[in-house]
Amino acid sequence: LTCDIAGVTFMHMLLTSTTATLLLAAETKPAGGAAIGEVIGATAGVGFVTLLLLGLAVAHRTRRTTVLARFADAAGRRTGRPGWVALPSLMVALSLIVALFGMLWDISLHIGRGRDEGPLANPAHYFILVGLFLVFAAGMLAVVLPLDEDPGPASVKITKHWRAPVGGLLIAAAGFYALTGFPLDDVWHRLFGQDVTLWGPTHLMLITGAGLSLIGQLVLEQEGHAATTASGRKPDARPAVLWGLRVAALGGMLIGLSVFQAEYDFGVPQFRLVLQPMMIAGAAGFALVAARLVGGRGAAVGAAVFFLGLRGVISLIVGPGLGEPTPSLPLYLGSAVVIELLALTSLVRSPMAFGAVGGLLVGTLGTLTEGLWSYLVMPLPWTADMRVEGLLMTVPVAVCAGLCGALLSLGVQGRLPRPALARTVLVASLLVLAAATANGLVATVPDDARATVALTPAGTGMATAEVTLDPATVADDPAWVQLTAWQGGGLVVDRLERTGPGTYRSTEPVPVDGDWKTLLRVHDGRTLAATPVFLPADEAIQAEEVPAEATSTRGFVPEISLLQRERDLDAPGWLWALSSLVVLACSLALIIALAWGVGRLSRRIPPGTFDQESPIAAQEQGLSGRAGALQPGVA
Amino acid sequence: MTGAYHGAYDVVLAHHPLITALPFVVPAVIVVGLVGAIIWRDRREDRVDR
Repeated sequence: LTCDIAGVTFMHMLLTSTTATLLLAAETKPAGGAAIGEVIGATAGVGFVTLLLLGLAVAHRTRRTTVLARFADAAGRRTGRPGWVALPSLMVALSLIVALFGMLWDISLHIGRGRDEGPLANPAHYFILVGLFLVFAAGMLAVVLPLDEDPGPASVKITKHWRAPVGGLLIAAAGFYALTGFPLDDVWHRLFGQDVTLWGPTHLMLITGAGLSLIGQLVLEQEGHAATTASGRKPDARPAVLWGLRVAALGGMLIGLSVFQAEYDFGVPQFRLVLQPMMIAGAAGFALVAARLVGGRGAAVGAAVFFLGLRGVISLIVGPGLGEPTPSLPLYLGSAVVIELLALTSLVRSPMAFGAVGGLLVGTLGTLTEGLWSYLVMPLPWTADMRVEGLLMTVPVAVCAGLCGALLSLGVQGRLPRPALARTVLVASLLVLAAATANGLVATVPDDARATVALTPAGTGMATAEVTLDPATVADDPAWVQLTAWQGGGLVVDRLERTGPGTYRSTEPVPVDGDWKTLLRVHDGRTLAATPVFLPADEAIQAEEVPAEATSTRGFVPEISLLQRERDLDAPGWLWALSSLVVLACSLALIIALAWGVGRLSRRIPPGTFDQESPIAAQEQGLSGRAGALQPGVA
Repeated sequence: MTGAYHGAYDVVLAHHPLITALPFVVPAVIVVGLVGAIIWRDRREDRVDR
């Protein structure tokens, strides 16, 4: 009788589900294109802003208005820096906060509601695009502003009477690169279908451009400082203000580099878990080492606290505030404390060695603290099966990141090591990062493995599940065996409870109707596989419904075929490789531009110009006569 | 461009990437082009002066 009642209820549930699906099918989201009205509206809005800014810039350069100069001077007076640094810096900071909010909101919308109805149909996209456009505009503002002031020896000649700070050019380049990702993303979707993952190549362009614009910001900041010193004036900015600005820049860098981890923060990673500690240690090694070496005592902890504060607030706005899935976030404080403690030793006087050892400690002790933190707050905590491979990937990446952080700090202080060494470190670091990432991306699906899922109705459109894996060895020591339901108006991730060899049961009901896409996901070592529990029909991509059945036995398939249902997996491999190479070329161009800019700043500015107030400089002055680890300032 | 049925009304969709790039990317390209043109004119005047 119980069985019959359950059966009737289940059929009723399926009937409800089918009705809902039919109704919703009439409102199928298109899988490509942008509504022309949205294109016209956005073009008019941004066109107006562009004309306004261009008009102001031309009037400023031809001395027909002092509006820009007065705004810049006012910003400069408040922070004790030249106006051409202060106003663009403020604009970069605000723009990046807008873009960051847009990015996290966008990711949560995709996780909770699925693909976009078009590139301009998603409200979060406007925040991203406006933010990135204003980053570009801020860089151009720094280029345009210096009129009667020399923007320092690293500046670039535009005309006989116009020199632009190299930092401004780098910020504009990073913003431009990020914006280019937008039309390329549209091309990508046309070629390969919508890839609903953060790690689509063109999506990465948007994030990378935003994050790396802060290197330009740091360069601009130092150029202003150097220009003031070179003009014979004492820098007006108080040490505490300078410390705060550098902490904010490198804390912002930590935020930018952490966006790459967002799928893990939400609990819907489409790649192996072992990549998460690698990314956290890489971001921490780079940003925290640079923060400590540029900002001095307390700057690494300051950058981590800045990260937790700003990212925490935005997570709360996106999650509880807007009612979307809430992202978790890494801690970074353990790594920051380790870096601060290391800086109490004499190693801090040899920045490259400090970077290498700091990276090593971040990759080991820092990763240990992040592992404990993941048990407390992460939706998918780290597991023992990834320990060895995790360390093999995390430690080399963290060491290289620490070295690059040290390079950045030396570059912006005019003390870059000889070019051959600097280039070798940068290229080797990129290769190590690429190798570790490539290893992390290798995932397999076991042959002839299947799962039997028995559903028990648990409310309208909801069910609990009992799962039997065949063979049971599919998940010997799994990172996860879970039911994930997403894109139906929220996110449910249920880590299943093991009841015996190869058998699991759910701990909470999951939705199995409407727009929800519900999957059984298994990850163990290199195994990353899924099987559908319920998938709705989708007219726009000609996909049929996979019904939720009382008992079903289905084979495992690669996760992306289910998680990225809109993606066209039949596109030729060579076309995908060629398109990826185009994106890679754009990315390398940005990295080369940034390296050139930092190198130019370092070579053009006499050693000792910077930061007499910096604790590092003070330590080094006390060590006059002692050979450093590096050969400074060689052009 | 094509029409897609969306709920109770038809929406005209722009499918060409150049159209979807119009709002944010084209203005940036125009600004970069303007600065490039200024640099080119300055260098040309330099050559003429010499």
